[in-house]
Amino acid sequence: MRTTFLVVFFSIVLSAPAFAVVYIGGNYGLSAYSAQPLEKYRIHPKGTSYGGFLGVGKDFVGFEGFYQSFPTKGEIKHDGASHDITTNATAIGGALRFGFQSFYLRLGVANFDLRQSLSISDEASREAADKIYEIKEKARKNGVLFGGGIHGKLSENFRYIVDYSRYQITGVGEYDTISIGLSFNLPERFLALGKF
Amino acid sequence: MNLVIQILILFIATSCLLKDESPIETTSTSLDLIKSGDIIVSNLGNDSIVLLDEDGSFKEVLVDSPTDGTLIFNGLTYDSYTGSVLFLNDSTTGTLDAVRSIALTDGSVSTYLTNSNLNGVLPGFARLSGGDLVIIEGTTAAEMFNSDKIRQGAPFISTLTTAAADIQALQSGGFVVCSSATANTVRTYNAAGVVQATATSASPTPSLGALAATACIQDSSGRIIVAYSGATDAVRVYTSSTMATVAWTFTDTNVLTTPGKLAIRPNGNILVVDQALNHIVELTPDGAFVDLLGGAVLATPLNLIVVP
Repeated sequence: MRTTFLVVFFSIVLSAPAFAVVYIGGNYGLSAYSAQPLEKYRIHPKGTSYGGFLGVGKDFVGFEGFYQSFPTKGEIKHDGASHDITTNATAIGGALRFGFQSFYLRLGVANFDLRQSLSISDEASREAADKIYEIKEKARKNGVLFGGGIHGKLSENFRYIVDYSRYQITGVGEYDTISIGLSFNLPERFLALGKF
Repeated sequence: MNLVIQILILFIATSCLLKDESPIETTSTSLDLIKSGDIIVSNLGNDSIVLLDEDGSFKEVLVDSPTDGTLIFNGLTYDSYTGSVLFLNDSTTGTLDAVRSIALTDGSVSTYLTNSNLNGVLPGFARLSGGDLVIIEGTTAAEMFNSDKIRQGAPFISTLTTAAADIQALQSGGFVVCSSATANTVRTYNAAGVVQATATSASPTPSLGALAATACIQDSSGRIIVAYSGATDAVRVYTSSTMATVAWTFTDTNVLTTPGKLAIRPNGNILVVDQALNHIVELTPDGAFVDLLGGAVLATPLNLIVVP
């Protein structure tokens, strides 16, 4: 599914210069993971969030593909000791960006690759904790994202971005992210390289 | 937008994202079918052992004999040595007598101990604090098995008492035995099996007359609690294991007409089954009536425990 999405997306981007602006960017910030089985025990894994996007835009609407990573970690207390819970995920998806003068809104869909684990060495104890916290050792799930932020011009082609986004993984949980980023409008001569 | 406002928004949002709380501790046992505080009751009426939650609501049938009338589950105890619930599989033909265990995790049943010397009526058993398992055999003798299930003595005590009805461990390492005979009805023993103290329903005073004891147990304060049945049906509490003084006696024929065995809740409340009214009576440590439990699913309840 991820491969199909990438093929379709890059086909759109490479055919875009005739009518739109192509932009590329990246972001880095903080993320927090929440899920019902963890909230119940007041567990809030935190970490970073980083990723990139490539999009085409016309007027105030942009369509972009993105990759985002969420390496997060939290503390649990189980069977009398403290342990780490790791709740990593990566997302590949597509989103619509509605840009206005000083802010923007974003809405999209994504496919998530989840990797969760507990740092409990005793096997029986870990197996029990896996069930309690509903650990997804390795799973692929779909979901949505929505968010928004503020942006401003740094130069003719560069914009800064301050973003809040929520990535909701269907039936599992969600990542809330706050990040800063840069977006670069590709000049047409860059894209002309792909036309040969 | 003003840069200061943007920075302020970012700061507030980051603070919200980084909220921190101390996690609530979990334990592997929280997934267990049988949890601390649950009540387990054996029924004579349908040869079953049922699991109730701490409110007395039905949770699960743990054991349901397909041969009603040939098995009695009189002995029932939580065993910290095996981390399971043990019960006596007392066959009326003697061929299936055994100590069996119920796993806390999923309620699965397995055989813990069999021995050819366990072939009579098995009214009760107790795991002593030293690790030995003492089983009343044939209502008069006591068999003992160490924590490796090796038989001790031949038997441990030949004449424990007559018509023994119940046995429970004492904090001292010994045990208390009660019987339906009306002389020396309740006896405390040390771990070697030597009698330390005796009591009957008539002595110490105030006398309840000549009654049979159906159950005896020690609470966390060291008091001995005895259920008596007969002309008067009562729960009586003695102030210590010497049983020299009565603390209080509960009687109320509206709720307690045929007392069976006893159990103690973690908060000190006393539970006693009523075999005729098919319910559990809950009393405070001071002898005040609290509630009736489990009535809908009990059928001539014999024994009960509260999972610690």
